[in-house]
Amino acid sequence: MSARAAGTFLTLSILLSSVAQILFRLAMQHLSLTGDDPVSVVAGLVSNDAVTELAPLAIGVVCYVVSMLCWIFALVRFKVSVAYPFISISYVIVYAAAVLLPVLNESITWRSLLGIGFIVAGVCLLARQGRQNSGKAIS
Amino acid sequence: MPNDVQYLLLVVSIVLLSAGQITQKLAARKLRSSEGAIAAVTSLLRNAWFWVSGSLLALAMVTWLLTLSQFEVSKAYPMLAASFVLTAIASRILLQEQIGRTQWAGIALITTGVALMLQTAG
Repeated sequence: MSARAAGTFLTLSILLSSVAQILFRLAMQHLSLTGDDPVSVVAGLVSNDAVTELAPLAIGVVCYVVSMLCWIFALVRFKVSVAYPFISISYVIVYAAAVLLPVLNESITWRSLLGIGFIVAGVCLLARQGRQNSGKAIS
Repeated sequence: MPNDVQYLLLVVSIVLLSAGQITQKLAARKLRSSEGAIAAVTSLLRNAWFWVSGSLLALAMVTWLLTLSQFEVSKAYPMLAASFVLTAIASRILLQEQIGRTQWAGIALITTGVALMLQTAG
């Protein structure tokens, strides 16, 4: 597989997994787990409005599965240590989308922005050492 | 449902995701980069690790969906990075990969970040 093809799979994987997360939250945000009884939770899920909740769930699952396949194909060429930092880009995409989309309308807090910064930096550092030290390329 | 359950869902999702990632790596290891797309797909479908990985990730998706009914996605999704910490430690044990000083620093940063996210997510 060429580096370009693998790069395309990697990009697709990141974009599709971001879209999937937004759709998942869209589908799940009104589900209540307040009943202690799991049966009522499942009943609540099934009785959800088909258009506004089950459709995003179904499309989200498809995006997620395709993104997972793209990720595996990207890993054929790239080491995990090279590919992983790209995942943290999807945290930023999802955060921005969830805050900006009126239908989700999530809050921006300094603490969560700081948290995302730490996590993105941490993922990049965690991957970097592997790239320097590990001679075990998969490709 | 008690408050603890929402955190339990998050933790179970993270653990399942790590297990899924390790087995996904085992599946990818068997692929040869010289293979064409069709050959790659058929060899994946005959790979047991692919199916183990798929099952773990499917299960992770169910617990993750339930987690998303409890937390905002902007706060919950980055917390999944905790699975990289688990994966790094599991890779050291199972795949004989090394954890260097820089990696430990990354683990510390991710842990701090997740702790910060938890404080706004609850």
